[in-house]
Amino acid sequence: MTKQFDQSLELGDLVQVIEGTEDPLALGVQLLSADQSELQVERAMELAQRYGSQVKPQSARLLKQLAGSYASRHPEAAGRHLGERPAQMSAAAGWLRAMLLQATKEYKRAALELDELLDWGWDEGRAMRLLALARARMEAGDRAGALAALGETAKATLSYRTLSTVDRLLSRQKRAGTIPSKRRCRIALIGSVTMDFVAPALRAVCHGCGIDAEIYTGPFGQYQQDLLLPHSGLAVFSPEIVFIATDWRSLGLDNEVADPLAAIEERVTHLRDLWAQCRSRWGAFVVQHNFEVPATDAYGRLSATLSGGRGRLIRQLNLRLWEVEREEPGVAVLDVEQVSAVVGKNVWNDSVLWHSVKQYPAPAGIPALVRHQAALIRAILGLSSKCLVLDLDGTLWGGVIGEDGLSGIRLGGGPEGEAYVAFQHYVRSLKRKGVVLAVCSKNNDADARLPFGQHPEMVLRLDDIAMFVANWRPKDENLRMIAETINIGLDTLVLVDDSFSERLWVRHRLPEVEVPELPQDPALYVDTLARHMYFETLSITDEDRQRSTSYRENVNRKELESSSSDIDAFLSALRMGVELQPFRPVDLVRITQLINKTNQFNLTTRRMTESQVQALIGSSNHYTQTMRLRDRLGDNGLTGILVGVIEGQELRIDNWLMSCRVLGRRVEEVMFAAVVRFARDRGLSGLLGEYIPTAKNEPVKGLYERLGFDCIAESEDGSRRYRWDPSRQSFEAPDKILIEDFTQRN
Amino acid sequence: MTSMDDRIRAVFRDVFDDDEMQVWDEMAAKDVLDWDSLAQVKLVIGLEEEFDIKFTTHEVAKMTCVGDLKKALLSKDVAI
Repeated sequence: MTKQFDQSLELGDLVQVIEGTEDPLALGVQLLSADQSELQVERAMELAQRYGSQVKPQSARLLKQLAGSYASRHPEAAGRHLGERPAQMSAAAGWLRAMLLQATKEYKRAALELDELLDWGWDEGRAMRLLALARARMEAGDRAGALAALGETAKATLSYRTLSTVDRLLSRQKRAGTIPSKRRCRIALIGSVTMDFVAPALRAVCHGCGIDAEIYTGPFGQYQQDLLLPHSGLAVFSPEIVFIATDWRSLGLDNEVADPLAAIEERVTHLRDLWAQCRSRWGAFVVQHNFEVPATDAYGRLSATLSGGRGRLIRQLNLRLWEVEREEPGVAVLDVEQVSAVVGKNVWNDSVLWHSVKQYPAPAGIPALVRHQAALIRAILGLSSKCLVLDLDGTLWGGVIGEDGLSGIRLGGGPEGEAYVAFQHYVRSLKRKGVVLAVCSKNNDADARLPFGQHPEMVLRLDDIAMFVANWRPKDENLRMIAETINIGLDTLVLVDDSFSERLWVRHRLPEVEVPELPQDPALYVDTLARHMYFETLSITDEDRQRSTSYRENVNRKELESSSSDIDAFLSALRMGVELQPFRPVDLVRITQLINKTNQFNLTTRRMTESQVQALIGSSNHYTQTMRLRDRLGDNGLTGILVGVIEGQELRIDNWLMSCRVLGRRVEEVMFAAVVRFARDRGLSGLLGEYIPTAKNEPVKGLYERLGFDCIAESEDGSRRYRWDPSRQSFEAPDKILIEDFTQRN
Repeated sequence: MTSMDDRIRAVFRDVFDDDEMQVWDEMAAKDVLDWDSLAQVKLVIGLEEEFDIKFTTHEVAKMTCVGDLKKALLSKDVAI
């Protein structure tokens, strides 16, 4: 529906119209496009904040347009909207801000904004953001950053148009000088179909794999001359890898063939002659495309049942090609029949473009094709990934082993649990074909190992894992250590981790490690990992099959040295905000729940009933504190609790716990700083802390020492008492975290 | 300028690698130096993906100016 508005649109009117529609943000921005006043952007920002937690392609595009036209109409007003950044911005609001910055030529700030923007809930959303980031960095003169973002875009996207845009921007960069890469490679795409549209996409995807591909596409339909003539374009190019893309039509087969075996041998011999040319003239590696079984055949099922039927014959020809591949060194067959089936033959084939320009496959099939080509190129050049590093909680099983225990984690026994089992089977198969497996998890070592030996649905076993690292150190340090210990390059590691912030952290610290975006649903883990084809290999040896075992034997299980990594950059990128409140009736249920289920970050593990908690509300003998943590990924909710008992002139911290979701963020320091402020304002002479060890709370064993407490007593069971003097000691919370402290309000 | 014009212009800028390119209805292949048969197909591919539509074989062959492109797009009830 459309309704005509005056120039000045009131937000309330807008909301009334768009509320409840399929894509309210897109509709709202569209309606706003008639508004030429200076208020337009302000309104759009309000809409984006309100409806923009999910961004769809349509609204992203419209917001970009609005920003562009607004900035050209009201350049000064645009600048006024770009002052201090609000602490909390929705994804769409962040995007609008970035687009405004871009339109006002504030490229550096636009790049920073885009870099921090969350990826959106649809696959191309990530690619769209990364491409905008690459453009902004390019304009800001950050060439290396732009090239990296272009590589990430190529890895993320399944859109042909986005790949060709990446290639276009790459070629501009190339004109300005060489592009840093692991490897340069001259690749020829020749064959019976137009390859002009495959080349840009392949170049883009190769760039994403660190390969600077120089690509030759021969004149249409002349690939045999190109291979044979002494001074052909191909000969001058002197390829290192030749893709021979012959399509099923070029086989010249009728629906039914009189002598099928002879027909197959004739075609195989012909292709082998072509391979021999490539091998002998340039020593090139040959990749032969096999043949799609046509999506339509007038013979219908007879095409497969008749001994001379075309469908049957093409299937046999494909099998025969794999047989001869084994006899031919330096030749690999690319399974185009499989790729076309995965894409879907109705998408793979575009009859209009075939008849118009002999384009095959359809542009929509090209991204999948070039990913397969690039995976083979990586294998040929020895650049395939070697080691799969796995997180545990949320990745190999659902839930948190350290909290939920063996019987609480979700593994098998239900739809979600089955999905984790299926993923483990896939991972185990990867190991069988020679991929090295490692575990890298933030966990207590004993907890982390528990399911491997003892959970009945566990597919992976400890002896499948070449290196098992479970501790509380930052993952980049552990990954570095894994690579060093196994003695492989960091760029051969692939990390599968369900935690967004861990992925962000590792990408930021170790850009050479492959970190695929993982969907939230474990049922999609296999598809996601498979799509990237990190581990493609040309062949498999007995040595490959044993690789994991031999690495494991080499792994030296020395105690890891602790190191102090600077995680401030990471924390400030998370834009954390903490809200501290005294216990309130509204939080009663959540407080009680946390007190009774938290195990790891829990200093004393003193459980309490709801009425016991209630008694603390408003009590003058107690200091109570709840902690809510929000960051740019969202609101983590009420995740920390502290209870202090005032005993004379001292405050004893009776209960202190935090949900394991927010560990490692230095939030405990914020909580403690508030306690110190409280004690000082009340003129208390001492703070007392206790640590009571349990099977689970190892991670907080040294917390009070770390905060600067003195240990004043230790009992036989390992319990310790600590003291802190607020009149002599001061304590500063990390300055990267925005703190709102309401604990002393009452 | 309508949203449809913006989107068409964006596709042209992609295809011809020119971020400043302007596009008008009467603009034809002869007005643009690089508008050859390859570029023609790039335009077709780009517009099909941008608007999520399919052109007919006839349309692909007959599109010689921007106005033709728009006419073909409008006949497909493109969501703007």
